[in-house]
Amino acid sequence: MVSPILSIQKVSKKFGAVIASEDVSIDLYQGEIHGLIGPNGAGKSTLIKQISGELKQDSGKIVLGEVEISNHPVFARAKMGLARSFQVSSIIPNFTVLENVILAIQGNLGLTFKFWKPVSKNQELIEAAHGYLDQVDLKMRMSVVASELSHGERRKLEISMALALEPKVFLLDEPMAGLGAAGSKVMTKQLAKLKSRAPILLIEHDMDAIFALADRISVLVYGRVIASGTVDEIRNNADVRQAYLGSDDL
Amino acid sequence: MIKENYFNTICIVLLLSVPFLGLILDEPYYITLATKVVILAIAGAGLNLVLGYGGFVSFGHAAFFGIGGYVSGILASHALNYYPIIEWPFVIEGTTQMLIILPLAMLVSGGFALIIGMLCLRTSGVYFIMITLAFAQMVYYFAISWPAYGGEDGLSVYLRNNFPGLNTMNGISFFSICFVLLIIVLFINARIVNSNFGLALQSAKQNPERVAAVGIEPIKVQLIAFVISGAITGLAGALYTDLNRFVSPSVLSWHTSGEIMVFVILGGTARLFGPLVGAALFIILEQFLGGVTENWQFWLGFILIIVVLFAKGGIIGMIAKERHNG
Repeated sequence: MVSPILSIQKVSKKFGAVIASEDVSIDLYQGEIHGLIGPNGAGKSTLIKQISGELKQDSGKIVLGEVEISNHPVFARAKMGLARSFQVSSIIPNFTVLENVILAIQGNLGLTFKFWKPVSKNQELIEAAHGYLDQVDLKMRMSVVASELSHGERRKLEISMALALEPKVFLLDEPMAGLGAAGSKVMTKQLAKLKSRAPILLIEHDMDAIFALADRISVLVYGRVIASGTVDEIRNNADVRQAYLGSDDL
Repeated sequence: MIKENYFNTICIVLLLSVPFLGLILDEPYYITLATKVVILAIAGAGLNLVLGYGGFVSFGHAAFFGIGGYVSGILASHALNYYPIIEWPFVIEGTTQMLIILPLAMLVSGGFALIIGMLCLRTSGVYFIMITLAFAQMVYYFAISWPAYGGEDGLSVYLRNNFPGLNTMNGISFFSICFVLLIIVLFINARIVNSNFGLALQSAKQNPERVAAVGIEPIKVQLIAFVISGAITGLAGALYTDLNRFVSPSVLSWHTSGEIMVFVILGGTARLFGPLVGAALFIILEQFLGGVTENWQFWLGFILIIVVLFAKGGIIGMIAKERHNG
């Protein structure tokens, strides 16, 4: 039996009377994309925040590799190999694309407490950053200040920063949001490449994309996983159809 | 518009010309004024690390300035009066050696910054401003109520501390010491700002969530910056005691914190030479407007409002537009 890279075990979270997560269990294995879908307000983003450490679960465990990370702060989880992208792109706006990626590299390599050598003269770091930018076709934009990037480019930058963390797991919160049809296609290709590096837990609204990409899917409704399985199993699941208002577009 | 580097060079040349003008015109007061600008610029350079590059507004830097000042004053007064600071369990004598006093002042004020920073950095925004202010006021009232070192009356030191090979009572010599220290401090600031640490510090200012998400603990970065900042401002405080041969609780009051902030904001936050330009302008206004009207601080306030409203990068931002981070 192969053990999962990331294991979410019976995680629950309440905000007052509102149940955000209830006994959620998801396992993520090497080489797969695990899609997480569900209607608005189903608790997808809340779950991602509990995995990344921004929110603390009320009960349940989160295990990365062999290590339980349930009580680790955000930065420690990232250092241990959880790379996340944000629903609303999160970048360092006044720094260049290159500097953004260098920040991620130095986070991964633990170079932050170097006080003397100028970053701009550190060829090793700069070349490493070029490599990560190349993988998302953003190298020609590397000297641009990140706040001047287009929406799609910001998404790419986030993916590039996630790559630079050399993570064990990618947590991607709606990477296609707002990209448009053409942009989504490009991103779909990117993600397909990404999964050879590390497994992906992918939240996505774009059903076409998720059915095309995911190896397995879990469906979250009102904080509970109502179904989990392969793409075909989910497509044919009656509860899932119900949750999506009996729509035919599944 | 000129390049920031050219502007900085001009500033240095102007600053250096003032004491020599004082020497030629036989006006030692000019030398004192220039020295004051240099010392206050060092204090501002310390604050600039956290306020400018780190983006957290410390309203308590008077504590570090004053602690540095008292370290210098206490050590010197013991040495000059020939009685040890403590006699038991071992004897610690005072000293008048700058080479001992200045590092010690930085160490003590940096240590205080570590304690205050650990307690304050969990908060942010207005709360951070208020809690740093509260700590500084605590130190202020402590100094007032501590009779051993003059209490409210302050502590006089009748000679400047010594520096090997120089007569520090000579204005130009003392100016030179302060000036060289300012250049060293600015050089260190420049290195820090452009280093990996500087990248993380300025990133944490813009987007702490993102910094944490790449595996860097923002608070740790900010705490280290706060300690370095406190130590640099403490160095300035120690020099200030030497300049005036006097230290009193007034250097610890919140006015001092406010003035150091004014230097940074007036000159330009997150600009290497911002604190120097701000301190110089402050002293110039104090001297010239102060000669014309008692209410010169009204005009200072007026100028500050104009700068804050219309020149985001302070004076340097108005004169030298160059991309800078933060």
